[in-house]
Amino acid sequence: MPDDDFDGLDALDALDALMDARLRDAGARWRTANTALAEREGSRAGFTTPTRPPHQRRNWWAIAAAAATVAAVGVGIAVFGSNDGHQPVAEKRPNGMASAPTALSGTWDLATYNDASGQPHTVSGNRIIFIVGRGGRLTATGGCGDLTGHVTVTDRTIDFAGFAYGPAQDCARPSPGSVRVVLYALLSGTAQYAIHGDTLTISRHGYAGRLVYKFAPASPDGALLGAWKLQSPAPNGWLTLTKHGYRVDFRCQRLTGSLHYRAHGLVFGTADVWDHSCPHSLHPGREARQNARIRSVLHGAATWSLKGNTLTIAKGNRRVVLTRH
Amino acid sequence: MKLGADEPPAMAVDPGAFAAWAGPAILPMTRLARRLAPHADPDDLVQDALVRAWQKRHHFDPDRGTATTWLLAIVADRARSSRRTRARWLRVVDESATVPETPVDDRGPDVDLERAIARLPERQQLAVHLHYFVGLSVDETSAVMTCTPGTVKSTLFDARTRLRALLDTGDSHA
Repeated sequence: MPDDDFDGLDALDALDALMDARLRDAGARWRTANTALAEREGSRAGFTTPTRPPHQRRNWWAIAAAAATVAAVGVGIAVFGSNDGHQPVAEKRPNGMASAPTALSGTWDLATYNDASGQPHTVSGNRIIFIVGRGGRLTATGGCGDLTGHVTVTDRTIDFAGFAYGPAQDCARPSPGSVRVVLYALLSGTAQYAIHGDTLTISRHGYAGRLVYKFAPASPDGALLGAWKLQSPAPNGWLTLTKHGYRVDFRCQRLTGSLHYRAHGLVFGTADVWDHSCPHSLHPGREARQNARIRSVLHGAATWSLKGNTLTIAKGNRRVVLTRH
Repeated sequence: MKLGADEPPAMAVDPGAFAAWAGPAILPMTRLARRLAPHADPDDLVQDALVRAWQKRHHFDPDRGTATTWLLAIVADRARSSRRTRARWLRVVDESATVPETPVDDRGPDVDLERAIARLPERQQLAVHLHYFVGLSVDETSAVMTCTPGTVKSTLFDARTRLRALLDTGDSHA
């Protein structure tokens, strides 16, 4: 702001304008003085730094493309949608890059399993599910507690090296023939998988145990989709449910994550958190505590019930109440 | 500052298209990386942010901001992580070590201002860096910070007030 604009402003405004001008000046000088940036600014078309020796130059177009390629390969599982036919088909990329099959994406219900001695068992009672989401994110249940983490998938194998087991403190010690022994044995290291029609089999060479899942088509209840206003434990924002994901817009934070629909439940994937500034009227500490209570419900498996325009999502004795927005 | 095109028509499946889509944002991304994480190589930070952007590209919502503002928000997030990692590392190496928030360059003509900026709260620093040093408008800054333009103006006002106090008392050297 030029100095002659100060007429009519009070002293405080004038001081603020001076600081504004000082910052603008500092910013402009910083941009100009930074020679590397200036060089790059002069070569935006190619995103190279001309004064660097050739072996040090960075081609940003190539780096951006390489970053994308490395990320896609590193993640190891394609994230471009699902394969309704559920045949393990490797996707074709425009640049010929190899990619993992998307056939694993989706929700699978455990149907049968062979225990460590090879004895077959049928599964009854609670659903034991295995969900592979976007980016290789895996959620599984083992009968007590959720297991969540990331896996790397190739055409034939699943590498669970980066898989983090969830809390299992509520679990009784598993019996030798229980599915949990097989589940934990297979969900470590690298396992083989095969998909035939709607059946997924996970096994490992040299181990008699195996898990046989049936594909559970995603069937989001249309009544749940859309935006919901948080009411309890605190009226802090909105929850939006889509076919494959959820978003929570708190007043100081936004969460996004994957979402899978079960017959009487929802499975919330681990949230990506974006913080933004709080309005001055809010108390950040109290806001954070309220958000944490809500987030503890919207994480992993939860049940839901709908009465009129009121949706209740519960996890144990904790619940979040929402109304249609 | 006029920012780049927003629509990512083919980038969802094509790394080359992603590169073209992200290209116009590289310069402001590098500037912000230099401001927010002066201890790190800005090129590496930008590269890290691009990898993150590719992994999260399906989260991009053109209704909530431009490609550049979305990418700048990722840079800010990565820079914050980088600072925290470095702070933890320094604590392990030397309990008495301090972590400079901005480059200490006594040759600069406004080193007092730089030091004062380094003492601002994180949100105020981000707003100052984005608006004054990267050169974004208030609206663009608000898109990066996922808040309203009014909040950005308020944050910048608070930052200027705090800077005045720091510079008036000479406390920026503390």
